[in-house]
Amino acid sequence: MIRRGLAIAAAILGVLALFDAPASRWRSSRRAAGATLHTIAPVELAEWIRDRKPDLRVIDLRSEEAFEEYHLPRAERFDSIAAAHLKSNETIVLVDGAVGERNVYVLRGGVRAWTDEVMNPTITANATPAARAAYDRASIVSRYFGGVPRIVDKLPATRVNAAAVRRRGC
Amino acid sequence: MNPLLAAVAIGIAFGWTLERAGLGSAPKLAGQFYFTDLTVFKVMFSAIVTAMLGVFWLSRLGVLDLSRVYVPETFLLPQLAGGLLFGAGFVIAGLCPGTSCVAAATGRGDGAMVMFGMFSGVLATGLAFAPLNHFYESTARGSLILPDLLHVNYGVVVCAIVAMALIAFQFAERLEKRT
Repeated sequence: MIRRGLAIAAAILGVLALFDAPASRWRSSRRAAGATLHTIAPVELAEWIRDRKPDLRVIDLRSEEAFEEYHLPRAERFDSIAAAHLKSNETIVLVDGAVGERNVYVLRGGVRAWTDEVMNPTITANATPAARAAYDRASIVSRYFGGVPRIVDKLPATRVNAAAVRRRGC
Repeated sequence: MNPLLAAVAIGIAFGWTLERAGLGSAPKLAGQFYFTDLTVFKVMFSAIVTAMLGVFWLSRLGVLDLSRVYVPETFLLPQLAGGLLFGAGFVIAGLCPGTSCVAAATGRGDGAMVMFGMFSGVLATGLAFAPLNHFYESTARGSLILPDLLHVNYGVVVCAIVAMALIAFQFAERLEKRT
């Protein structure tokens, strides 16, 4: 009897889930009609990925070797997807430069900027309030993706490889 | 709340639930592979459906921030190899990592031996990790979730999995009655 009741409750909740808001209702209003080519900052892209922005596809244009070495979360290799499978309402983020197209964004600074700004955000202790606010924003997504935000005395000339600090599941 | 204390509390609750479901018994678990006792399948699938409906509806009601739920990355071949190895170990031992802890905690010798084997395997893998690292990092596909993969709404996936579970439970019950 209890099992039957639980099964009915699950069925009701499952069927109600079908009436979940369509993806378009969750879509950001940033997407202007007729827009051509945009760039996107690594931290903003990190927030999109973290927030599961509907219809977002992150397409990596680099070599297979570079992709295997390190890639952004949810990134797909361009060779591994057929262009015909891209839907017109999807937001496309290209990692590495690309041709301009509707709803296409290019990741500003590429994977290197992602590594520096998302995986290893660094700030000096005497940074300006604006820099501190940007650091605080980046730190939140950085920790989400397993990055290591740091406050240092002096900014390093080079950053560490983000692949070494990639977060693992349980 | 201290995350470690929360983890201990959740771990104890998980272990208690497994034991109450009878999953500390190796013969019961082994019955899964001979289709004589599908308790494991029913318990695990029930847990998946409960968690999925809970996460979905709590996020839609604004109680849970879905963006704070971490989705592990997919590495196709290493995870396929790991799954096969895990399955083989499960059949041989009759216990999986969680249930071996439950069995050991309730004083079963087989559970303690499986735990010993499990930690030995963890140590051996750690020691031999350098040559395995390339394979471990291969065929990366990022953090995949079904709505993105299938290009459908989250709710459609939730409904489909609930339907699959209810049909599978019916099928499992009939299979158990027949054997």
